[in-house]
Amino acid sequence: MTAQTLREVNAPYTVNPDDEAIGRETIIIRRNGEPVAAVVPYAEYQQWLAVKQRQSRPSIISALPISPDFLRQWEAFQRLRPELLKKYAGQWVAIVNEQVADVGPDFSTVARRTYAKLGNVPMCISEVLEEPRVYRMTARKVVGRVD
Amino acid sequence: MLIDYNRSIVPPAPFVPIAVSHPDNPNAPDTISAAKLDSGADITALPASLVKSLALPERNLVEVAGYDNQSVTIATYFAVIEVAHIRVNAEVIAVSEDYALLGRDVLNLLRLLLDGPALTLEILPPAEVEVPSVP
Repeated sequence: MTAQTLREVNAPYTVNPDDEAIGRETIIIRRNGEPVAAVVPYAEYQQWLAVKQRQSRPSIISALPISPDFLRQWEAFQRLRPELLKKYAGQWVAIVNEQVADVGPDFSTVARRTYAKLGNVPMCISEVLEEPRVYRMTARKVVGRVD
Repeated sequence: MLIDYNRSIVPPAPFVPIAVSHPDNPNAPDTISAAKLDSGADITALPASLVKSLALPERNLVEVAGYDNQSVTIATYFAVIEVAHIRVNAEVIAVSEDYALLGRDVLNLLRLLLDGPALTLEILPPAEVEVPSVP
């Protein structure tokens, strides 16, 4: 990974396409030491776009109907994610009424605590991660429809 | 507790009895079910019919991938699972199988001894925690 530092605020910045690092590795651009942008290989960018599209419009294969009230909490979590990453990265949060209702170290703690406090209300409980976790199963067909 | 493998599956597979309940009523398990031990699963899975009959509350949408790396986005649910007198507030997914799959999220709480040649498994009591002596 190459670090590029911007020092002059008013100067126009260009990235030299002949730079061998471009397209091969991720270049982090910093302003006053803080990362502000990243130049990534195009293939990675396409992968990121695909992931983002999947997150914004998930094709949910569900054996059971998903309740709209729950989906609202899940969408709120997606909206809040950038802010949550700053405060609660690596922790689990419960979203109720489209706001953070609890934060804790694991699903069990947050689920039990939120349930005890608020009862069976629509909520989303998720780990706050830069990249959402992909759960691995040995079964090839991980879910099916119930007819 | 010594439990025979399920021999109706080829090859025979280790199953354990579990009790599943809705978080509204964790002290009165609604359903006793069989669960296959699945150390390759990151998350525990319950039969969709069970998730439906207990009306388990949704908790998240997650991406789940099989061994062929094909992934789908599915809902997770909140269930209280009791296995070998250990109660777990678990995040589970629904699957079309008629039995549960105990993933490592729950398996890692248990001490299990698999005896393949005898086709039995033993659930061992929790390990005694040694408290280091303070000089």
